[in-house]
Amino acid sequence: MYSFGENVSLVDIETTWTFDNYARIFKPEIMTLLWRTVWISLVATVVCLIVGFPVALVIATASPAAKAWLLLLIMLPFWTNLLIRTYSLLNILGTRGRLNELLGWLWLRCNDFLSFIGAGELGLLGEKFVPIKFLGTPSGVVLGIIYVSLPFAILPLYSSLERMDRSYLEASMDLGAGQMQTFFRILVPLAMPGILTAFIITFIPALGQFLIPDLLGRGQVDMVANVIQRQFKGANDWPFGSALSLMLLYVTFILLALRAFGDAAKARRESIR
Amino acid sequence: MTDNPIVSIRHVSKYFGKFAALEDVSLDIHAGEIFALLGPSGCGKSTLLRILSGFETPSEGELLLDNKDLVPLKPNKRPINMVFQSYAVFPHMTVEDNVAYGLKMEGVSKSEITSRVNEALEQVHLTGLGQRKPNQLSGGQRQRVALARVLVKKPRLLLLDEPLSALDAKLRDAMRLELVKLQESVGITFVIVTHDQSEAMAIADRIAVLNDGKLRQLATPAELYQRPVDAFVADFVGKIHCFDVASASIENELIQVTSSTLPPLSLPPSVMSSALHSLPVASSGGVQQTQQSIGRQPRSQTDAIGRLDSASGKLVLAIRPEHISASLSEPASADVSLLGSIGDIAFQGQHSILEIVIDGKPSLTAIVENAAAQALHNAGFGSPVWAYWTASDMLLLPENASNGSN
Repeated sequence: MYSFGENVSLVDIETTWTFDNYARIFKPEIMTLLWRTVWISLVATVVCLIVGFPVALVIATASPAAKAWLLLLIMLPFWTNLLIRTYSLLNILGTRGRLNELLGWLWLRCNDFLSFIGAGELGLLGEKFVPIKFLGTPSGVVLGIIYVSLPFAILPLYSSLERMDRSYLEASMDLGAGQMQTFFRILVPLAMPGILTAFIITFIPALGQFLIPDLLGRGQVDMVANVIQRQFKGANDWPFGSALSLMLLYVTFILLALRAFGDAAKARRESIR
Repeated sequence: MTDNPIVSIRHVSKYFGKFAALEDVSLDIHAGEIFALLGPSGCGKSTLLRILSGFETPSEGELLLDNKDLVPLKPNKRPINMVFQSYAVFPHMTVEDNVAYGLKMEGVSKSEITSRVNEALEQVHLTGLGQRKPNQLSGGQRQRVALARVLVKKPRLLLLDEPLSALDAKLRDAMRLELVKLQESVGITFVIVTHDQSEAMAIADRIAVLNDGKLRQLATPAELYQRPVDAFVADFVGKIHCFDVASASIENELIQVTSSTLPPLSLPPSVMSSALHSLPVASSGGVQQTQQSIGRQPRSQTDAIGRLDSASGKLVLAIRPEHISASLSEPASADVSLLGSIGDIAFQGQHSILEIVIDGKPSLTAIVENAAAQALHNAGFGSPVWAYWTASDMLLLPENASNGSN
């Protein structure tokens, strides 16, 4: 309701059925924000799927006892508060954090190796190790989102791989296909429903991420949710905040509807043939 | 059929942890035959099939295809293809794509793929359905797709895992005949795994009966039925009645058998199971030694007596229902006759099956002509009836040949 209203005083909002709040969404700075939100979420989701798929495959093919432990391992982060997890990421991703420590070590080893094979003089890896700046950059936000959403991506992938009849894979091997061919021609297509579910279940919450861009983005990598929050608090512009939130909701609905349409179209195509 | 085996399985064992799924199985499969692996569930027949296809490696033993070691070859490198029990027709591909899949993996040219796929679809009578998806096909059609998919590869060996078990009874009978015809026309060696003895008998040229991971008998269907090696095989390949044997010995080239339920009998040596010839013999020193087969006639009578006596606790006398006759009056001259009462009579079309109750329990079934069945029916339920048969139709079998030999 607020989204169709106007601020008439500091605390009062009158519903005037204006579309101004929606029109403001199409201003360039907001469009940039939306676009950044989408691509950060998209990159994070795709990485989650690529990383999550092999993990899910390992769990699905593990022995029953190992399966239980691996699933527990996947669930374990859920038992820790999101805030604590994100703060711990600050420690890992910082300029002098653990990840940069590791990269620095790798850089040294690689350089050693390069000098060992006689390419040390070329300075292929630069003069000295420059720590990568994760915090306050999109890469940090993407890494943070990957970290929190990975379990959500793994679980639907796991359940679709778990249910899959192993004889499809054996039939493929039996017919002369190698591991890779079986993976891309049989396993991935058959797991497609699970992949779609994993995509939606990762992508939609990623769109609405607030805490991670706030902490890991250091306020320099805003996503929609951060702006919405500011509209409600700092900017005291509830109507525009409402419009933005509803926008996010619409995107979600559209995505879900697209998927439902896709399923229906597929079913229709097959019944016509 | 050549004498050169296409596949040689030599002393193959497979252990899953401590469980022995297969124990020391040796058999040869000849080129161009339909070979059946028959046994109850859990007998190891599927494990053997998976070893042939390459999804399991034998724990011990050798596996040769055309005299070349097969064990190190991965499933996708073996000229052996399999029709899975669930068919495993890829649901996201059309029928044509399913059939073409194996050829694409081989890197066959496109034009050749098209012609070979069409040929294979024709062989299994699926012409015109190439564009369908598997979920638009019936179970029987899906099986044909699975068949076409492997036939198109022209494998050296085609494995079928319980090919008919998922079909309904009528389709199953039709498919049986079709499989045999198909095999004759393509000339590929088939290995069929089944738990259904009638299926194996109807389709196969030779049958290997497995139980508890051991090969019990390898024979033609007729041989398996008429000369089973032990009571397990005899019972598995068809209905048979068994009587416990109290003692058995050989005198004057006749086998003297006593039993708690039958009168003392003198039987010709031909009733003896081939397994009995190689039973361990108690020598004078009391040391057990295994005597190799010495043919039908025992080498010496004392040997034979020792042999049968040592196994007498595990021997049974068996008779098949079709050898049992039934009569309302006491038969004048019959080797064996037992008095019982009439139980149920089941009409089967060309003949009837009579149940004979002895000591209050239904204990014998006899197959009788319909005219005789009418007379028995008129006599009524519970009337006295004699079951009789010729002694030479009986079989003297160890209860379990492979256990008896150790």
